[in-house]
This record gives sequence, structure tokens and C-alpha cells, in this order.
Amino acid sequence: MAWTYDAVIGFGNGMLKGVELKKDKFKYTNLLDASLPLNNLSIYDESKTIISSKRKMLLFDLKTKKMSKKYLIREAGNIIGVFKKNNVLIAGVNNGMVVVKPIKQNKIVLEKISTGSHLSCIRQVLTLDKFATGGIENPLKIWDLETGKVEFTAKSPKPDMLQLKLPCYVSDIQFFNNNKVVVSHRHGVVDLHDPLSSQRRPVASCKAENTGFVSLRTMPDYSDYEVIVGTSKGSIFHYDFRGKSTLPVKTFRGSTGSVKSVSCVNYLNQMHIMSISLDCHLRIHNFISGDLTLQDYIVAKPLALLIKPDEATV
Amino acid sequence: MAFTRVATSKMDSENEVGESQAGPELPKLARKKPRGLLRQEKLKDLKNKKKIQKRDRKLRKASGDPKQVPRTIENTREPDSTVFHSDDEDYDQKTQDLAAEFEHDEFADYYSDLYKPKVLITYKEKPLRKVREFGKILTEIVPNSVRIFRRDASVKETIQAAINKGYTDLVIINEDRNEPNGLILVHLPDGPTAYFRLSNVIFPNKRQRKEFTDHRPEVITTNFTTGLGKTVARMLGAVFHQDAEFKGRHVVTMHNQRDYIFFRHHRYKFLKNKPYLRELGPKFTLRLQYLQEGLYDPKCGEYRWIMTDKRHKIETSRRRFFL
Repeated sequence: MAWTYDAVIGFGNGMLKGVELKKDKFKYTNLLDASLPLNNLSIYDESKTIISSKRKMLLFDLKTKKMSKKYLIREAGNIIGVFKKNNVLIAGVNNGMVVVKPIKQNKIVLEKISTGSHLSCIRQVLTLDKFATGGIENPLKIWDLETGKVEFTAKSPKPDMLQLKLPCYVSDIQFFNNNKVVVSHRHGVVDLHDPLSSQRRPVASCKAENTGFVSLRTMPDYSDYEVIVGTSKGSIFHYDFRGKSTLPVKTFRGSTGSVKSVSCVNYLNQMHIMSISLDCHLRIHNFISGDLTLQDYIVAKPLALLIKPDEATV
Repeated sequence: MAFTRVATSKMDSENEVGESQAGPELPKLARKKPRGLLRQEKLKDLKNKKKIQKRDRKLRKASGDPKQVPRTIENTREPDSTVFHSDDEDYDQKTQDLAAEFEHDEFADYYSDLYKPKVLITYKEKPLRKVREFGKILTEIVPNSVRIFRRDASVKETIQAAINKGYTDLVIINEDRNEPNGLILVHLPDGPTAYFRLSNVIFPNKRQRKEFTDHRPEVITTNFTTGLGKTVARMLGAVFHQDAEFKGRHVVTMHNQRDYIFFRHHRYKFLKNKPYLRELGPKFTLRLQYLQEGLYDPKCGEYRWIMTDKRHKIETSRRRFFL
């Protein structure tokens, strides 16, 4: 692999840092200095990453540490997520638009899809030509890339026992290998949807009180029911949809700020959970024991965490 | 005593015959001393200890050794990873990163002197007399500030209205039983939001109120050491005007000690090159409860640091401080 780093951290002020996991230590390398405000990070190919900043998308080469290309979007709003699929860049914008941008400039196949009033998350389906969106009062929708039409729309959450409307604020979406979808909400709900079934309401859901969920990650070991969720108050929960109880299986403690991103990494031949939080710390928890193995102060405010793609898929 | 008991038991196990011949040696019971005697002995011990300490001090003074440093909570504080020490491994890199972070954060515009702060001060829905009085005094101290009643407008509505009117900071004072007890500070237009517990408010008396002037005060924020503390200090500093009017000789001090932020307002004077302070008031204490990313949003907001609901998990030690 061209990735020499185990992970790449993107900071709010535009800094990029590569992290190597050493025994009892993190080793950092500066990739990019603070310049432009950074919104999101995503993988382009084996050696490049996409940096999205406000209305720009930049290709950044990790090897040469240089910007190679630049794409602009004519939309009022910030980009919240980008991914690459079949020679096309697909970007979700804050105001609810999804913009399809061809990588090579000569083809002009500019497309726009309106997904709703607000967008906070966009993810691609791993194997198929589909993507999922969600936002404030904009429940999960799965779109087909070729036709640009909705394939599946989740129903807004069921009203409570007094028949009052419950809010809906999607914060993150992830896919299992059997194409089931997990959606985390800012109001402390994680839902499991099955797009293949006729049921539009969640198949299973877990709840937490007094916190909201910010980040979500499915487990990499082909188990189709387990997720790891980072909350807005600093704990990381491990949920299992198989049981009847809606309580978390395990809690990973240690952070005092909102967990911006979680991922599973292989560290010292054991599964560990790597997380960045708004209290400017990088943490690694042991998955089996739940202990905090390593933590370090990374000074600036981190926003995005990219794990070496090889390990993210295994 | 215990020793003898062990010895006898050992003997027991070794040969039972010997025991039956001589008879077991019973341990002597300790005679209970009367209580008064115990106290007397304790006092005596203490006196002796002090005597020894005094003698040692004298000896040390005579020999010219350095003075011993008393152990306080501050100097035995638990090490914090966000405090920089110059002998750290990557000290240079970290200070560089921090400088870069401060160049690009929400208060960068204020500290590079791009705008003048404009502050809006409001209260809870129906404020009582004491809180209104408190807000009035705050408007007199904070330059370029306006106070309004927010009636039945929610905090979020107030924030939106304030952004539209071009305010840069918003202060909301809460009260409980006619006593100011909370303060929300929002930096506009895109956060962060801090909630402080407010306590020990002492209002200026008549004499002090007479000495208030319209001059812009100097602002000092001291003893904020950690990463969180620096952010809070920057936030508090950004409420006041950047260039002070030194003619007025007013100082506003926000001093952090053991996570409590003490607010003081003084007037200074130099007499024969010696500074003299005169307290103007008000005095109050702030304690950070949470620091939130973005605008005020208690339900789905993200927190940079939060203490509510998990104080017992965070406050694990008396010697651990966050600011």
C-alpha cells in the first residue's frame, strides 16, 4: 500500500497530520500547514485524499504532500461529505443539494439532486452504485446514482405516547455487508433499517438518554449487528442489535468532549478503537477489555479521521 | 503483645505435651487508659513535634540552606497533558500548533483587531430586581454593551435576533430566588457557548458606585494554563474592548484559581511608584459547567468539555483542575 501512515487526522484549521502507531506512542508527521478551513476528509485512491473546505474540493497527495487538483461548487453552503465513484465526485452540500462532478473536466455531465431542506451526512454503499443521505428533519434516503431517484425512504420517527412529534436529526450513516443500514441521530437514537424489506420504520433501535450521537462505525469483522457510536458528551458506546435490551454492551470512557470520529484499528495484533474528540485528544481503547490504552494531546481541534483503507475493510 | 501471642501459638503446634505441663502463657491485656490522659499525651506529642520543627528551622537558617516550600493544592496539582512544559519532548511543535490554532479559531478576528465587540446583555424571562441591578452594573463595566429584556423570546430566538443586529457577544443571566446563579456566554455568530455557574455576587456599595466612570477598562485574565483554560480566557477577554482608556485607570481582573474564576473590578493609582488599588465592585465567582461547540443548543449540541451529569467521573481527585 502507498499509505505509510496508519491514520490521517484533519484539523479544523486546515492542518493535516499523519499518525503512525508505535508501541506506547504515536508518531506524527506534518502533511499540511494550517491555511484553509477544513470540513471533511475522504479517500480518493491509494495515495490521494480529498479535502473538502467550504465550497472547494482539493485532491491531496499523501506521498508528495502536494495539492494536485481543485474543484469548485456553485452552491450556497458548505460541503459536508465527498466520495468518489466511477470517475465522478459526489459531494453533499449543507443546504440539501447533492452535486455530481466529473473528475475529468472535458465531460460536462453536471447533475444536481435535491434531497431536502438540510443535509448533514452522505455515504456511499460499499458495493452498489447507491448512496444514502440524511439531515435535520430529513430522514434516511437511499438514492440510485444512475437514475438519480430515491430507492428507499425511512419514515420519520414514531410519535411518542402522547402522540407528539419527535424530532429527526441524522448525524451519521453506515452500511453493513448485508446492505442493512445503521443511522445515528443527534437525539440519542441508533436505528437499523432494512432497505430490502417493505418496512420503512427501523427494524431495531437503541436509545441513550441525555446524549446525542455524533459518529458511527460498523464493526469490521463481518458481524452484521454490532456498531460503535460516539456521543456528543464524550463516551463511546458499543451496541448490539440482536439483544432485546436497548442498553449498550460496553462503554469506552475517557473523553470529556464530543467524539468526532471513531474507527477500528489493528494495534499490537488486537482490535482497538481509535477516536478523536473535541477536547483535542487522540485516544485508543482496547476493544476487549474496554480500557484506555493510549491517549495524546493533539493541540488543535480535530474534525476528521481517516484510517488506512486496508485495515478499514478487513 | 502480638509477638508473644504468635510465639505461644507456635509452641502449641510444635509440642502439645509441653503446654499441658507448664500451662499456657496468657497475653497481658493492655490496660485501657482514661480518655483525658490520651488527649494529654496527644497534645504533648504535638508540642514536641512543633518544638522539633522549630529547632530544625533554626538550624537550617543558621546553616544557610534554602527555605522549604510548603505543600499546597496548587503545587501538588495532578499533571495535565494540555499544559506545556519547556522540557517536553515536542514542545516546539506543540507551541507552533497552538499558535496556528489560535490564528484560525473563532476569536482570531477579535485578537487581530478586525472588529470592535458589541455586547448584548439579557436576563431570564422575568427578572427580579437584584438581577436587573446586576445586569445594569455589567453594562456599565462592559464597553459598548446594551441590555434588554427578552420577554418570552427563547434563547435561540434571541441569538438569531442578536446576530441579525450585528452583536458579537451575548450574555444571559439566570437567577434563582432573587439571587443571580448562572451566566451563559455566547460568542456570535458561530459559537462557542459557555455556561458558568455564578456565585457570591457582591454588589458595589454607594461609595463605589460613585467612582464608576465611562472609560473602557483594562482587562487581565490570569492563571489560565490548560488548553481549555486558554480558550475560556480568550472567550472572556473577547467580551471587552481591545484598546483600553488608560485615563480611567480601571482594571477588570479575571483570575482563575482551582477552576474558580474570580471577577474583580479595581481602580488603581501610583503613589511614589507604588500601586494602590481601590475596589469598585461587583465581585463574583464563575465556575465553568460546559463549553459547547457552535451556538446554544442543549439538546443536540456538541460539547468541547462538559461537567454536568458526570461530575463524579471527572472529579476523581481534589488535585485535578481543568482550567
